Amino acid sequence: MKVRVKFFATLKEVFGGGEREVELGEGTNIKGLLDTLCDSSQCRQKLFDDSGRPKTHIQIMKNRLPIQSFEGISTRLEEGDVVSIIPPMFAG
Amino acid sequence: MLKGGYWGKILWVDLSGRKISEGTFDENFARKYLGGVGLATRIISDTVTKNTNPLGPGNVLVFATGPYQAANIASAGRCSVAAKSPLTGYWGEGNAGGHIGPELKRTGFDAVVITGRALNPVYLWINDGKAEIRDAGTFWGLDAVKTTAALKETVGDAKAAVSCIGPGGENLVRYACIANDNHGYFGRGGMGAVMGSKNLKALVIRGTLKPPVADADKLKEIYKAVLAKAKEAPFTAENSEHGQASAVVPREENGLLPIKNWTQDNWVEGAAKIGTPHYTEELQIKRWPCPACIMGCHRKITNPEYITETGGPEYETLGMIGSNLLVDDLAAIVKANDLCNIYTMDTIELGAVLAWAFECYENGLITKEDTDGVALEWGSGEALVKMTEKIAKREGIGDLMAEGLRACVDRIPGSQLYSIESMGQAVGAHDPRAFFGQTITTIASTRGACHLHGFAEAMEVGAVLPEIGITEAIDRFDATKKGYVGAIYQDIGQFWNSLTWCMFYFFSEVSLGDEVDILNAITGWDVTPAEAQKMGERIVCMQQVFNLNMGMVPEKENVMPERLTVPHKGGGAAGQVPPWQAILKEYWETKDWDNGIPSKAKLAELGLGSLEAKKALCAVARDYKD
Repeated sequence: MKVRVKFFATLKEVFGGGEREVELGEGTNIKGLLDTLCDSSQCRQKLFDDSGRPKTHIQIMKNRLPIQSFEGISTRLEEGDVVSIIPPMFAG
Repeated sequence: MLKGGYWGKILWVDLSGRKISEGTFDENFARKYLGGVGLATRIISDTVTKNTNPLGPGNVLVFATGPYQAANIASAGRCSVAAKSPLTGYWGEGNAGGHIGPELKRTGFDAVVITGRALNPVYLWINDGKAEIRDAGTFWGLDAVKTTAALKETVGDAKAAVSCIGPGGENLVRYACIANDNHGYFGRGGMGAVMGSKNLKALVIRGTLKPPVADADKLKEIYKAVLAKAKEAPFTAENSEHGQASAVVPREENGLLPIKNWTQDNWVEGAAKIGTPHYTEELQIKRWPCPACIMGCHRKITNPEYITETGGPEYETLGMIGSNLLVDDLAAIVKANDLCNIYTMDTIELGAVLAWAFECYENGLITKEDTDGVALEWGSGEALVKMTEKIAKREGIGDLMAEGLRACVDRIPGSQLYSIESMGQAVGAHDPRAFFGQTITTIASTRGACHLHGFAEAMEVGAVLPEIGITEAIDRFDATKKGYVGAIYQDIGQFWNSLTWCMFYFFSEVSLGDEVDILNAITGWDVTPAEAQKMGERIVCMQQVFNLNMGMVPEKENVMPERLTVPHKGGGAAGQVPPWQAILKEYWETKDWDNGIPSKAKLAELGLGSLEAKKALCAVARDYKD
C-alpha cells in the first residue's frame, strides 16, 4: 500500500523534501513507517531516542488527526493515508 | 559587596516634582531579586497599593536590567519593564529585545524607577551617570518611528537607544506597548499606556561606561564553549533563517494555532499564505538581530512593495491578527503590524479584541452603525487595518475596543464567550488544547494569560531541565505532572526575565547549568541551578502576593476560558481538552499555595515573611539592604 508523508520545518531538509510517497506492507503501523523512513543515522536521530523508541516530542498526525486519538505509534495505516510529522517548534 | 554584574544603583525619577535622585542596593538584595523583573517586582510591591490607579501618578514604572547586561554576550540584548497593569489591574510586565538593556547598563544605572506625572510631555535623557527631564512637547503626537529618529537627532547621538510610545500610548490604549528603536517591543500589559499617563514620551539612553564583571577570564572561557554549542544547535540556524513565522504552518497542522477566534480546527491554505516559506520569499526577508545575537529572529522586510518602517510580523502577530481573524492577506497583516508598531499597541491583545468584535458582528451584536460602516467580516484585511487605526486614535467603537476585552464584554451583553482571556489579558497564539503544558501559562500566569510566563510547552517538545529533575518530555496530551512542570517552568521563566536574557538560547541547547555558570562568572557568586529556580519562585510568589493585594481572587481569575474547554472536532488537537482544574490544583500544591494564596511557610522559606508582614513592607524604600 502507498501512504503519503508530509515533513514540516527542519525535517524537510533531513528527509529531502516536504512530501514523500512511501510503499509499505499491509498492516504497517506508525512505528513501522518511521522505521522505513529512517534509512540513515541522521534521520533516525531526529525521530528516535537512544533506546529506539519514537521521540515523545515529535508530533505525528494521521489524516490531520493526532495519532493519540487512535493507538499512538501502534496506529495501523491504510492505503491513501496521509501522515504528518512535525519536529519541535519554538516560537512565541 | 557587588563584584560584578551590577552598579548597585537605581535612578529614581519623580515626574511630578521633576526631581531626580539615586538609590542603591547591596549584594544580598541582588542575590535575592537578581534584576530585571525580579528587581522591579520588589520595588513595585513596596510602592504600589490596591488604591493605586494604574493610569494615575501613583503607579510606578520600572525599567530594569539584570546582571547579563554587564556582559557583551549573545542573548543579553534584553530589558524588562513593569508596573501595575492598566489592562488588568494586576501585575504587569514586558520583556523585550533591542539596545535599551545593554545601553542602560552602560550608563552606570541598573534600573530606572519612574513615579508621578509630568505636567507636560517630557522625555528622560540618561547619559553616563547623569539624567535629565526634558520637554517633549514637539514630539507628542509623533509615531514611534518619527519619535525615535527625532530624539536621536535631538541628543546628537545616533547610537542612543530610544524607548518610546506613539499615539496608542498617548491615547492610553490599555494595551499600548513601548517601542525599542523600532525593533523590540515591551508588548504586554499596557506598559505604553502607563508611560502615556505620566506624560512620558520616551527614555533616551546612551552609556559608554564599562559595567563590572567579577571574573572576565572565566566568563570568556565559559562563554566560548556555550557559544560554540549554541552555534551548532539546529534551532539557531532555523530561527536565523526562517524566524518565528516558520511556526505558522506546522502549528496549523498540530492544532496550536488559533483560527477564527479559537473555533476552527483547520486553515491549511490560509496558513500557507501567511507562513514560511511564502512569508520569507514574498517579503524578501532579512535578519534583524538584537545586539550580539547570533540568531537574529526579528525580520526586516526589504520588498519595496510592502512599505513598513518596523520589523515584519512574528508568530504571535501572524496568529492573532492573521489566522484568528481568518485574514490571509499578507499585505494587510504587514500593514496592521506596522501600524501597531508605530502607534505602539500589543498585537496579541489587538487581535483578540478584533476577533471578539468580528464575532459580535457575525452574530448581530455589533452592526455597521457601530463601526462607522466598516464590515467586520472574517478574513477582511481592510477591516483589520481600519480598526487598528480607530483603536489607536480611539475613534468611534475604537474607543471601547481600546479599553480591552473585559470592558468590551461589559458594554456588549452576550459576548462573554467570544472573549478569550484570563485575568483580563488575552490568550496568546498557543492553544492549551494542543499542548496541555500551556494550561498554567494560559490561566495562572501572574501577569494574566501569557504564553511565555512559563512556556511549559517547551518541555513537551523536548527542552527539558535535567538540572532540577525534569529529564524527559511528556506527551502533549498527557496531563501527568503538567501542573508541576507548569510551576517549575514559570519559576525558570522569571529567573530568565531577571537575568535578563533571551529564552530562545535555551532552545539552542544553552542549559540552565550554562546560564548559571555565566551568571556566576559575571557576579562572582556560586549560584546553583536549584537556587536559580528558587530565585524565580520567589519572584513569582511576590507577584502573586502583589495580585492578591490588588484584590485578585484566584478561584475566579485562574479559570480556563469557556471556549477552550470545548474540544475541536478535527485538526491536530482533535478531541483534546486539558483537565485544567486538576492541573491548576497540582500547580498550587507544587507552589504550596492554598487555592492560590501562598502559605505562611512558603513565604517564610522564600524570605518574604507572612502576607501580613508583606503588607507592612509597603513603605517606600530607596536604599535596599535585604
